[in-house]
Amino acid sequence: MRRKPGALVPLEIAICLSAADLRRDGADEFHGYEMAKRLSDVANRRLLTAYGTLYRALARLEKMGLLESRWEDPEIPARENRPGRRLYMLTAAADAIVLTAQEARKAVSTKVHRRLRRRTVPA
Amino acid sequence: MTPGQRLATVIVRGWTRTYTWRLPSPVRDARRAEIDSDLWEFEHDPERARGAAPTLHIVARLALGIPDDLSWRAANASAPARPARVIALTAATALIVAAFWVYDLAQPQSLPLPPSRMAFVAAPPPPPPPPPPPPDQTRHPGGHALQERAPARAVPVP
Repeated sequence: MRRKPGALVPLEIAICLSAADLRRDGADEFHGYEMAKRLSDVANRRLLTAYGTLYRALARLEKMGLLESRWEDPEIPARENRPGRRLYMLTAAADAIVLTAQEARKAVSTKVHRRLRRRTVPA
Repeated sequence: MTPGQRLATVIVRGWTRTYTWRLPSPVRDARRAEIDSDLWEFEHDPERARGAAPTLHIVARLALGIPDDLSWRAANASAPARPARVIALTAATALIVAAFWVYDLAQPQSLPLPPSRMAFVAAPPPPPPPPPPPPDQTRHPGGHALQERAPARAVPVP
């Protein structure tokens, strides 16, 4: 199925939301593996998002202008003896999408809570 | 790192090299470096890299992402290649046309000869018009005289 240009798939929305949560926690930038871990924690899954799926989604979000990326200073990985990280950051353009997604998430959770309360509290 | 995990890492790297092969170098190198970084982070993540599960985990992440890898490859391969091919074809066509034009210009061209001198002579008076021919009077035996012979008609052949 071909998706509409500019439309976001659930994974891309989840990435934006997780990035916004990370930013709220004080981490403005994140790398791919960090995002994969965050997504699996949020969804309560053991398996991390597949390499191709994750990096394709990140590339698409960057192309849409919702994320921007940079390679970290090469001195840091050289000092820590590891490969360099590509660091992603939410752009201002993503804020509106994040806000809409957060409202939708809140509405869904409110609805679920209400239903659960109706079931648990006897009439 | 266990031998199984090492093998899985090699497979992921090999696959990444395969689907990024012959892509523009910035795109190719970025994807390879990103996957390398991910593998390293996974390997050094104390929460994940324990027991036999990490090997399966790496292989599963690879296998589930293959369709996306291929579509990413297709999107990245067609975008820069197409304009380059169009530009090359246009340039080649323009070059061929220009070569023909220059070759044609370089050829010695023979100009048309001027017309020979013409003498103007007074024309003789036109001859009188011939008298109109008498009407065709054919007498059929035992019949009437016909004024004119009827023109032949084409009869359609069945």
